[in-house]
Amino acid sequence: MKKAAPIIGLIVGIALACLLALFFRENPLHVLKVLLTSSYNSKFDFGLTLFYTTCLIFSGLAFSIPMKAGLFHIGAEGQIIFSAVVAAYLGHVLPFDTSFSILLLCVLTALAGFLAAYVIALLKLYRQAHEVVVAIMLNFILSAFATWFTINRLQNPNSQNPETHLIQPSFQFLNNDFLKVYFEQSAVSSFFLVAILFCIVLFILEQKTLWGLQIRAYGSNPLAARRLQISDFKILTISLGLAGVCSALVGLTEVLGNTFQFKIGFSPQYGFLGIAVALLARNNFLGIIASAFLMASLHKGASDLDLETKFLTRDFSLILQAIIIFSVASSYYFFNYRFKKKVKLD
Amino acid sequence: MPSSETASFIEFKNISKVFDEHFACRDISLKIQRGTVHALVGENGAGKSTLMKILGGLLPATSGTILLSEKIYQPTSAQEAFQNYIAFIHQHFVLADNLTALDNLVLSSSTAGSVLQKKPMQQIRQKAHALLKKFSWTIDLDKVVYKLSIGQQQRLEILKALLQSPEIIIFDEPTAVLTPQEATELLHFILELKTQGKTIILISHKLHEIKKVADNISILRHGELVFTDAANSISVSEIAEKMIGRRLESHQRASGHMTKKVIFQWGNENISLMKGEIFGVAGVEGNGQNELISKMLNELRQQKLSYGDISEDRVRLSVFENLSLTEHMLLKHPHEFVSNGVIQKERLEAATAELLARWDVRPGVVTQPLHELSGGNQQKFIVGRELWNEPKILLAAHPTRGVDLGAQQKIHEALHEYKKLNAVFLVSSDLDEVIGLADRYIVLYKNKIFGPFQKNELNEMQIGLYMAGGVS
Amino acid sequence: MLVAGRIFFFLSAIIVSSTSLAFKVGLVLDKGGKDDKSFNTSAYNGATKAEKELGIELKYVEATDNNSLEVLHRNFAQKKYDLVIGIGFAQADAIKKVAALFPQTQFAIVDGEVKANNVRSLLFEEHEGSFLMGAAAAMKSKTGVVGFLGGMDIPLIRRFQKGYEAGVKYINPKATVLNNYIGVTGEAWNNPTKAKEMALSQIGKKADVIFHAAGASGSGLFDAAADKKIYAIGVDSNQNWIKPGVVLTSMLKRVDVAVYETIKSANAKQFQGGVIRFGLKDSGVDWALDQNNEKLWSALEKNKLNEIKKQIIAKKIAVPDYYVTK
Repeated sequence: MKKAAPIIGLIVGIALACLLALFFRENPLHVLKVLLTSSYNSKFDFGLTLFYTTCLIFSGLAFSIPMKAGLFHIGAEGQIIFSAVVAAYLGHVLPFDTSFSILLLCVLTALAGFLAAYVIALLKLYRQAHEVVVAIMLNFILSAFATWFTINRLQNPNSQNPETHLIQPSFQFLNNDFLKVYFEQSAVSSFFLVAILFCIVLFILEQKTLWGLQIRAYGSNPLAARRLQISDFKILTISLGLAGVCSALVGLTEVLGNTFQFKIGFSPQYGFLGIAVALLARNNFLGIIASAFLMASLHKGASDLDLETKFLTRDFSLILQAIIIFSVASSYYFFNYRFKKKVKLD
Repeated sequence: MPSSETASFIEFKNISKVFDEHFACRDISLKIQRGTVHALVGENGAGKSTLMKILGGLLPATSGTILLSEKIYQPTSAQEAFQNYIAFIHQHFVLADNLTALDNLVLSSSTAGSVLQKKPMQQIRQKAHALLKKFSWTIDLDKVVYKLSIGQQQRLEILKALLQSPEIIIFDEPTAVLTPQEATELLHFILELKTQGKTIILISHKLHEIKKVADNISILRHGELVFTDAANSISVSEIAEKMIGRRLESHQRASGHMTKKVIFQWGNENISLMKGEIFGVAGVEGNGQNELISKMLNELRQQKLSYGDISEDRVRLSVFENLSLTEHMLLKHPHEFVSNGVIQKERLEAATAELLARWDVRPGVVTQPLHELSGGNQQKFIVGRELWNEPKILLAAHPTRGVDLGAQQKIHEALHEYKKLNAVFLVSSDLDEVIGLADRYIVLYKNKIFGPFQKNELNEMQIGLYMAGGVS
Repeated sequence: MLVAGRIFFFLSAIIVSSTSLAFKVGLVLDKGGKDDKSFNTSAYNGATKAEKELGIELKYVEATDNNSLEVLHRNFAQKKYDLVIGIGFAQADAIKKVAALFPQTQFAIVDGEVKANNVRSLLFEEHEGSFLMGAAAAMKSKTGVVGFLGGMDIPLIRRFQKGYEAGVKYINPKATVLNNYIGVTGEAWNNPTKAKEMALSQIGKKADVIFHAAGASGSGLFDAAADKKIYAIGVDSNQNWIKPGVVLTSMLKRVDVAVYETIKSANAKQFQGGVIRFGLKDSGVDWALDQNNEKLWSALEKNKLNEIKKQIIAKKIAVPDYYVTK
């Protein structure tokens, strides 16, 4: 019963959403059909869902990893934007001759994400600054920097949009990317596989290595961890650093795999949606794959509602998304509570 | 003198309290006479605090009734208990540290209700002064609470209760934090309250104290009442036996393994540990023990000596919530169970299982989270874990705090055994523990070190003087 | 049972009613949405007018994020919509991609230029209208200082600014023009608070007429102008009604007309690709005079402004274009 909780929550959430649709003189069956199938209407649509999934997996990880160490990391949004502009810049200026260049670009971008997140770790280590405050401020600083850099250094002269030049064609994940080709040039790219791989590897590392255990121990009781001489420095470096790398991968997914440039405002707040993804998965690295896919399908399905129905608008689809996420999230607590009570009575 | 013949003031009738699946109190029937001191003894978790919380209105009983002067009494809040002239003096003071003593008195005397009532400060001050004078206590009512000594804070706590002119006063482990002198004074005070006709319920596990003041004794074990009768009808050792359900060995242990071989020399502090000794640190808590421990740890780390570390606050410093016993084992001894970066799960589980068996940690499931175990089992596990690799020095800070008598005995034995192998540095605010176990000891008062003294060099009262700063 | 039956009837009625064979038009609005009282509202009004008068079937959607733009166009095309209209320069990329994939579908874009046979680009000569606004501002200014409040700092809005400045100097060569931009990102279109602050600061520097080209942020200017008793000039839609007596006039950018005309010609099977420019001469760009601002203008002033308009149409006054000469 307990394991089925999220699925029951999902069904209840969708049922509630349909009920609400009835109030707006919309056929709930039709709404249901759109919500459930719009992600898979065509390969192109499904590709887009997988693209959102990719971004949400990475941003979910960016929240989830520091959470294991007890850190509430809400700086992913800034790191995503920052690393995306770095990727766009490198894609524009790096000389391309071998496939080594792509690797170099990815490594340097990951490094940028790492450093952006590491600022939080350093300020916490040496100035006892609270990570939430630092992360909020950094989000502003990093996105302001990205805007400034784009407009003053990299502005695409062929567009009125605030966006950078396209990256060099050799860096673009286009016809050389079998996933993209299969999904009819949709937004998805091989980064989707990287995301899945990341979840699996992190899951194994967490369970099987001492570092994983030490990070969980630190998250559970930092004072006791210090008493066992587990160094703050190491834990913060690993957890926030990895989070920064995950954020950078969202930027790479966008720039190398989707638009081939940095557009200001490209992110529909992936960094914050990632928090919902991680919490929905209860910080389980494998669970993040499922919850990211659910959120991506909803994001996709909800925006199609606007198109497919007569009375439902963009804002209404946001409400539907919220209801469904709310039901799934609360189902855990609901079922846990019921479960315990039953045992007591026996 | 069977107590049932006289009319009882408080009567518990078949009181039970169930938490989750287990009984904290099971079918307890107990009578308490007016104007007596009634002691309630039992191990941690025996149900005495639960019973008193039910009386104090802090918890509802699952079943059963309480009669107060032969009327049914069912408090739903502490306020209601207050109105029935029942005062509860908690072991951990319920004081606002940043307010003055007077402010605390005013706060507690405003009665329940959503509207904050203006209390005439002056009136309360006068009342408090009258009480202080009566007991010849001195507390500066305008001093901020955290600047008062522990003894004064406790008196303030008592004062707070007395301002409501209660008839029944519950003391929960009142002498746990006091020096022997302060404790003696408090016991006198309790007797004085009795002569004024108050009814006292004293929760304690210091059996000698109880023998001194109590008229009647009730003993709880595993939530059940196993004994209730006049105090003079039972001896201290009998009480202890009934508390834990079996015979206890004596606290006092012979010294005699101490050698002259210094295995740890602490330069700055002029402290050295010999192989084969338990080196004790006595003193009222908050006199620099924690600072001494952290300095000691630093020193041990710098000297690269292997050490075991039973921390001063188990829940805060040793237990990781949601981590299993094996994981706790691994965190302490990472190098033994990790090869090529991968955890050797089988070896780890085998070693942990062996440890659980050896130290009688129950239930012996290696994958269970440590925090789910009882305090005593947690502590036994930690002691076992810390001794697992036979460190040069065992740092044991308050090793038996909050554990049941059985575990306490086991841990004391372990310390005593271990000193034969290496050395133990024992920090404890329980004076009996230090006197009973240590071969040499120092006394801490306001971060100052007195000693080291040899075993039997001072008597209890002399140590008490050092603990209270009476010797400079 | 009865209730269930009713619901079923109700549902089936909805399903049946949603099928027809009319000319299908899809309208993709920008992130601002149909209620921005300015640019998107204007486009939406043009399309609904066409729906009423021409009997076409209209479906409008609002973009949620950048990725959704392409999907929306694609879905319209896949559903065999006859004409898909994108509002705003941000949709140029999406339309370019999708139009190439669906050559049978007709597309139109407002404010952006896409070169393809099945795409009609609807562009406006904003600089001409802005010149007229500059002249109007200079005529009404007593201090000789006027202001310009741009939304997002992009070439399109620079074009407004340049035309406006030229118009001011045409009337009063000694006049000072204060320029401010609200921001460099899309947020700039929807930040009335900052617009108000900037307007107040311009008023502090003695500006007594301020023209905005800042979308929904403009309401901040109207507030500031009403507070400080100066004149404001609206943009895109006719905004004279928002604060009668304060709004001197509005630079009309008839997106509604452009959208309506495009639907009309496509419905009559006369759709052609290529660029169509709307300027003063065809009233695609104009100044707004109605009962809300009638009293602010004397006959003399009205004549003078209309005279300037005629001269621009007749190319007797050369209005500088930011797109041509930066």
